[in-house]
Amino acid sequence: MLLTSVIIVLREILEAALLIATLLAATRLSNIGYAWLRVSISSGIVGALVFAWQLRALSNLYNGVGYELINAALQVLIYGVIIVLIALLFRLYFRVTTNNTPLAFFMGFALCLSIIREGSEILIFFSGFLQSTESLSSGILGSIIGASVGFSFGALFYFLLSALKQSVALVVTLSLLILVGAGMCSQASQLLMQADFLPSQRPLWNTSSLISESSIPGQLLYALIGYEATPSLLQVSIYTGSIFISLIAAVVSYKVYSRMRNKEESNNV
Amino acid sequence: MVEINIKQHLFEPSEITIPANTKIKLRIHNLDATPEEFESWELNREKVIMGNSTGTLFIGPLPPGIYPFFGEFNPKTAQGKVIVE
Repeated sequence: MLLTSVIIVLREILEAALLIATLLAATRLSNIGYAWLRVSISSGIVGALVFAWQLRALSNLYNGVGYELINAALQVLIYGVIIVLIALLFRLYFRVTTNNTPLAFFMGFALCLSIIREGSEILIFFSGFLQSTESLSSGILGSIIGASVGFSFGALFYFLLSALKQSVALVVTLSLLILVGAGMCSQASQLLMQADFLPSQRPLWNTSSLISESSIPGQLLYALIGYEATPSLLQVSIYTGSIFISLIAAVVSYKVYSRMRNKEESNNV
Repeated sequence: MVEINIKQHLFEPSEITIPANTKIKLRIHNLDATPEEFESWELNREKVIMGNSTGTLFIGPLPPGIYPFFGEFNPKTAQGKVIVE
């Protein structure tokens, strides 16, 4: 039970911790403060509790594939929020406005959705071992170890991002958000295949002998860029397509906001 | 359609054989009181099934081979494989 709970909690915490680290790095770029973090984490935990509590009923929706549909919807929603964040980060970078409330709101929203997803799985796992007294202490100990390792990776990642120069940090943060978003879309497509809403296909390639998905590097890459050892053609297309859409959003917002900035500067002269 | 039970953190049957290049509906009945997560890296499948409930998922079409799966919440005991022929 010790090792099982370390692995489960680590896997779930890792994804959320890396997203928190990326968003916190963006917070440093923007001086929006940390109030959004408190609100987002607490509402995420409440959301995870409700989701875990209602999972039995939700799973039975749509002939028993409600679990897949709701998780896929959450992931696509996170991707949508990430696109908004990309635009807002450019708006901030070009100092088009001093109002950072939208940025704080959408950062909080992305994190809240991620906590609902990862947190609910941890809670469901807890609900299982809390029922047996023999595995209780090792389960709790394992969860503490798993959570500590997960958050340590997040902290390390945050300090790496913080050490970068501001302009470099913006590019790295944007790239990470784009890759995390693509990973969300790829995971969502896999869930829709599992639910038979999208056609399953043969894997295009198999890199599991190179980097196994169950290994620590595999898990880190999965959390960061949505690494998949045996993706199908459809999944790869959705992954690259979502990167392409994010890049278009980045280029358009770069152009729009830099033009607005230039106009404002020429008006001031 | 193939049915699998989870009983005392074990899959029964723990081995199922399905034809190659065919889509199969898998119904997993969790007869334990505790939740389980059906997980397979090889099949790219992952699904939480609450205690005393049934989960449905689709696998395939797959090329011939052996695809292990396990219960993520009880990985020591809950293990099985899908044999594709």
